[in-house]
Amino acid sequence: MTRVVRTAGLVLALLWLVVPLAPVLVWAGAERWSFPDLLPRDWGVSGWREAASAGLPLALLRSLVLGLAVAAVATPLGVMTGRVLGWRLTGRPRMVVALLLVPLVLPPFAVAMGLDVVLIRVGLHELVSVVLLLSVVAIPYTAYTSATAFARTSPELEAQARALGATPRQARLRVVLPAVRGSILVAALLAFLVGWSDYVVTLLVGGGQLVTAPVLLGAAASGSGNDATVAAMALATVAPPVVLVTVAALRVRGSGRTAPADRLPEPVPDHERMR
Amino acid sequence: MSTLEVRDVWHRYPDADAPALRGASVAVADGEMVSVVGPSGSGKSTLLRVAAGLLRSTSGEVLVDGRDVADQPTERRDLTVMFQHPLLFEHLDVAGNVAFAPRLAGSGRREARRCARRYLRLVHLEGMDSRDVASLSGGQQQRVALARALAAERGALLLDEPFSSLDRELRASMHDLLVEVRAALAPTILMVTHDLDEAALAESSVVLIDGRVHQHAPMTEIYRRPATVAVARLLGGFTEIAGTVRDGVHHCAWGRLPVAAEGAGDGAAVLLVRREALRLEVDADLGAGPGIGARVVRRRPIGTRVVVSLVGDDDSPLEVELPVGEDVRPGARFRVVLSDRRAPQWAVRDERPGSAAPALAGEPEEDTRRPVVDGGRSSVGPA
Repeated sequence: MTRVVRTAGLVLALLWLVVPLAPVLVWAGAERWSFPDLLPRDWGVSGWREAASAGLPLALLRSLVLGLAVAAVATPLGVMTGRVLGWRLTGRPRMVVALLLVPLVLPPFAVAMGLDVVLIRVGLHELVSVVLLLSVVAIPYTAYTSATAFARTSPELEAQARALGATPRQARLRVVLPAVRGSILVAALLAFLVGWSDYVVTLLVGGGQLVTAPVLLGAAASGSGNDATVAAMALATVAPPVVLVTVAALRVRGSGRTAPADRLPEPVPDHERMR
Repeated sequence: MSTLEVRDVWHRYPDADAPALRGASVAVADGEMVSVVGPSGSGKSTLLRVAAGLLRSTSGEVLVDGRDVADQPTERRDLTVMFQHPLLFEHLDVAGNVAFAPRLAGSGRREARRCARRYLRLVHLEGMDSRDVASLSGGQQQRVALARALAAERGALLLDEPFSSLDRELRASMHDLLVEVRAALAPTILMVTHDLDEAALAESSVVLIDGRVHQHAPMTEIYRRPATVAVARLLGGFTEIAGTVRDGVHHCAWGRLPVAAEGAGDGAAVLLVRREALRLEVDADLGAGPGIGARVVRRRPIGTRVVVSLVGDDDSPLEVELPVGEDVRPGARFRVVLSDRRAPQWAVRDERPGSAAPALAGEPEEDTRRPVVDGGRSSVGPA
């Protein structure tokens, strides 16, 4: 019975992902497809050609840079926050959680508009401003993913490494981070996806100068009327995250084994530790 | 190897009512093993963590080879720690774990793994270099942890209840291994444990209760002559007989009993008599010599013997250990007497709640009013 339910759930999840993509896939290869035909009458790559000439490669490159930059900023900050939350190193975890949730609770449009004004006055470059804002949005994801991993990992690992002669930095780099590496990879992936797929913040704060793949797609979808071009752009925008998620899932599988939480000693607060 | 000394260490956790350590001192000679025993919450692990530098003490000194390392971080203290859980690094294989410290110390990969194999042989895990540590049994994991600690080649090894997560059989095999390792390497060891049998593996044991050292002596001596009532309660199996010592004689409800000269001097004192040194006489009221009438409350078998709990005529709790076949039923009255009435008994100062005796020497004034032991506990502690 459980197996049947599990299989049914998997099928539903796949349908959930594939059904919306199916017409896009067909459209991307269509030369001519008009009602009431079930499938395109002619197949071809004109949609891809037009997407390329509209600047899709450069837009993808910008999205890649933006995603990587957001991951580079949000992952280490999230891991540090996750360590504090997961190992209960703070006496005020609720305050930390509340601070983390603020960017997710407020409407992104309002936040982007408000901060846009501030960042323009400060004189930051659009790309830097977008990276900072998206990092604030991504940190809750990276922090929570890391916190879960740290909560499953003994804080004593660090103490054990220190007792074997490792400096605090060596203990974290050689022992603690490898123990939570699977979750860090997932956290980085989430941060990358926040940067890669953002539309609102990039459009508003970037002031239309930063044309990423979602921005280009949005413009094409609202203006061109060429469904094949829009479908090609949509596929090109969706494909990298799908590939990344698949690769990450395969890499994370089997890694990150840790002792069960109930077997672990109570963590020692930071103020009690020797630096 | 090195000497290790923890001197007059005090530690108080934030928001705690009382200090976890109150002037605790322990000295371990080069190549010696000292165990620290005590009830839960007595400060054993705190003491070890302070020694290791994993906790900052409120005051006191930690000396390794005579050098004060109290302000040094853990990695610079020339000592290493093995915890209750193996805490193996799961991204490394067995040899990688053991080679961790040699690698940190600058050894090349090959050299470090060769060193690791040497220590793996010592703990009988030869040929398991490339095994995934998660695939090992609990006992094997703890052996790897021991090999890893030894491979660090530090001056002293601190063991924090290292075998308490193992079952009885595995624990016994780890005890044998520890004896082998000591014969081979003679490491300086400070071991915290709540297992009194395990503690007896050491040359001497420190009894830590309420953050204070009550006794430091070989375990056989501690069993024979516990320094305080609290120590006797920790060991279990003692009957406490309250009274007063005058001129080498203990005056109590039992009558007059000679006491050992090394014990408590004149004043309020408690005789600590092992339950196997007592016997029951059938007639509760007509016995000759020191003894007390008592009523059986319950009997509890322990292997081939039975522990009989009684209440004396002075309402004091008593325990007597007898062969299992003895006809002793709850409600029956007996006279409890000493098996050897002429042998001097062991008496300690009466520091129990309500007694007027002074606290342990060197104790600050404010702490003399605190009871040495929890007054709510039964007279005979857990064995």
